[in-house]
Amino acid sequence: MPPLLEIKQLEQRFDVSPGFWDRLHIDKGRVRYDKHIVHAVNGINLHINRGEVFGLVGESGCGKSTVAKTIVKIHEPSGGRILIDGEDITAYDARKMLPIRKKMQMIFQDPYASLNPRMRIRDIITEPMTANEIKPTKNELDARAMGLLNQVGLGDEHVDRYPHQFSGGQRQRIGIARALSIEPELVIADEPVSALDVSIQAQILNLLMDLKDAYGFSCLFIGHDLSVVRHISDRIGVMYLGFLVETGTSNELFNHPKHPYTRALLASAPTIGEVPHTEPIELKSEVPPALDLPTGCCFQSRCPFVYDACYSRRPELQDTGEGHQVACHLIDQ
Amino acid sequence: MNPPVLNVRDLKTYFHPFAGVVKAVDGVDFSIEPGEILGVVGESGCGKSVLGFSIMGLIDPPGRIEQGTITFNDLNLLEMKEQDLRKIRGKDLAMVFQDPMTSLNPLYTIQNQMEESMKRHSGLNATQRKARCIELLDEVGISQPESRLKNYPHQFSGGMRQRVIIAIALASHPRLIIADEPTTALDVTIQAQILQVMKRLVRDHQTALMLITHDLAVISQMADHIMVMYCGRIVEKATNQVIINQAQHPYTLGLLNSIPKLTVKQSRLPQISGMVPDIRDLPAGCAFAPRCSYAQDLCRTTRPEPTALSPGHEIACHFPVER
Repeated sequence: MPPLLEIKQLEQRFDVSPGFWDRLHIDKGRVRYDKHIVHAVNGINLHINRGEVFGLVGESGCGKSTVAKTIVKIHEPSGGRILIDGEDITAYDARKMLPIRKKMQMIFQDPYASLNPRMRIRDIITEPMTANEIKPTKNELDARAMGLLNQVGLGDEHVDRYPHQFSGGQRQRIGIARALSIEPELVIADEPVSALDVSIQAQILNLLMDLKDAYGFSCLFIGHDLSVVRHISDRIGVMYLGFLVETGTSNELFNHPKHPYTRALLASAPTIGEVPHTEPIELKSEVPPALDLPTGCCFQSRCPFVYDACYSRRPELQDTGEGHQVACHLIDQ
Repeated sequence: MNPPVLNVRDLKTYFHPFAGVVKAVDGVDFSIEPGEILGVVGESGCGKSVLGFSIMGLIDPPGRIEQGTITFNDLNLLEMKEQDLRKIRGKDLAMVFQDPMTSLNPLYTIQNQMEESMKRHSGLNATQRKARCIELLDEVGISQPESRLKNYPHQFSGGMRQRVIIAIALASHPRLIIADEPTTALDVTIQAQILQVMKRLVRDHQTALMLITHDLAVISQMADHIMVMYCGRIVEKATNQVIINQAQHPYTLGLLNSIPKLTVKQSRLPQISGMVPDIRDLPAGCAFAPRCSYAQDLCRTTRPEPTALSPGHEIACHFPVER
């Protein structure tokens, strides 16, 4: 059986060129007309099996949200292929995507911006059903809305209220209820808890895990907080500058991180009274812009172990056993 | 023992909107010694930022400081005139804000903004000021400081801007820096860099630091003392080690437990049920009672007062959790 989601060599580039006159300039006596391309995602391979939670971590601007948006085809991919259930959806237009979108739903980061302030909770939750032309009767819709609200820990009395009457945590619960209303096979959660307080964050994480057990969906969980991603994920991928630099089961990745970037991330994540697994690696500078990709390894400008091969060749993901893959030249040594 | 830099007694800052009273800070006592890092932790709406603003004298109507004393360097800040406060603010008392993208003026160069407080507070001439700017930028870890002085804020990344803001705060050797969520808007690797810079500078200059954040993990790595706030009050106050290892207030314990661990995989997180109550309509007894699993009848009727469990460990709870 094919995995629920498979992406192969996914690439996403955005043209951010300024206007005609700003692009035109003279360089060494020649007129040049430059294009500015942001390389957001650069050839990513990953798959999510049924019932699995795949966590994607990385710092801001590493392309993790772009991957999510490309999977649901909010952006058309610039290259590579996306397969849902073995079905290649890369070239599908909006009409052909309709039945596919029934299988996947998103949960967004900002609970204040992701609910329409002029719709009642009832209509927000049942909108995916009407949009996907699942046509139950009015009574069925109501019953479904109430049932979902109860499942996410809200009461029947909330069904006719508006989003502004809820707190951030409650709104995120509503967002989750909306995503689950058509029982998707894949839930794409883009930083669903990073806008919430810690006590509420714990509630939402527990709720997501309970619902996952009840509905049996698979999940692509995007986050920047390593401890949160580790808590919820079965497997994890670490992204840097649009590349997947390391992937493996969450235990393997956290107990034996191999890529210098993963190790630095783990070392800089603040913890309470815990001893980090690895020797601390301190990163000096900041993430370079994704406008001009370096030849060779994407991490060369910040890596403390950089050597000549890193400047000439781009490392590919290599298997190091137990499903652990790393893209780093140091592994060969 | 050194006399404290800052001594706050029974501070009450209330806001009076059209309906009701928001008791954002409701009877808070604490002091900070020179060179000490005090961490103030709590969830959004607990009054931790208002506490910082109250000390800086930045409370605007409908807010008002109702009661209490704030003694800074033997000066009672609450009885001072605005023009006298201005002589202290930015000199002895500095603030670092959360959002590095909005706390610098986009229309002025970095040098311009760094020199602003120096012009007011120090007798340095233009060349000395420039030299001091370069020295400060170098100290906070900005490379090629001389050429970057002429840059505008948009030419800096978020982490770099926060470094500039810290440099501005340090400009005239303050006695106390109030940092309100200084790293919340930054990525983890940058956060680690900034925190390290702050810790080093505070130690080198014997400046006191009041670090306000919602992140217990950050606090546990930085602070000497930790103060946990809930609904405008301090629920527990102790040294870092005591809070992390021997916290006894159910709220502190709940916060500590609800953070996922990096090293151990848990199936479900222990969670604090319910939500923070509406601050205009707090329950009669302990504000945490509706969410507390240890709550008894006494908690619902009588508000617990802060009491010392051991020297330096204060807690406002009728039934501290024995561990």
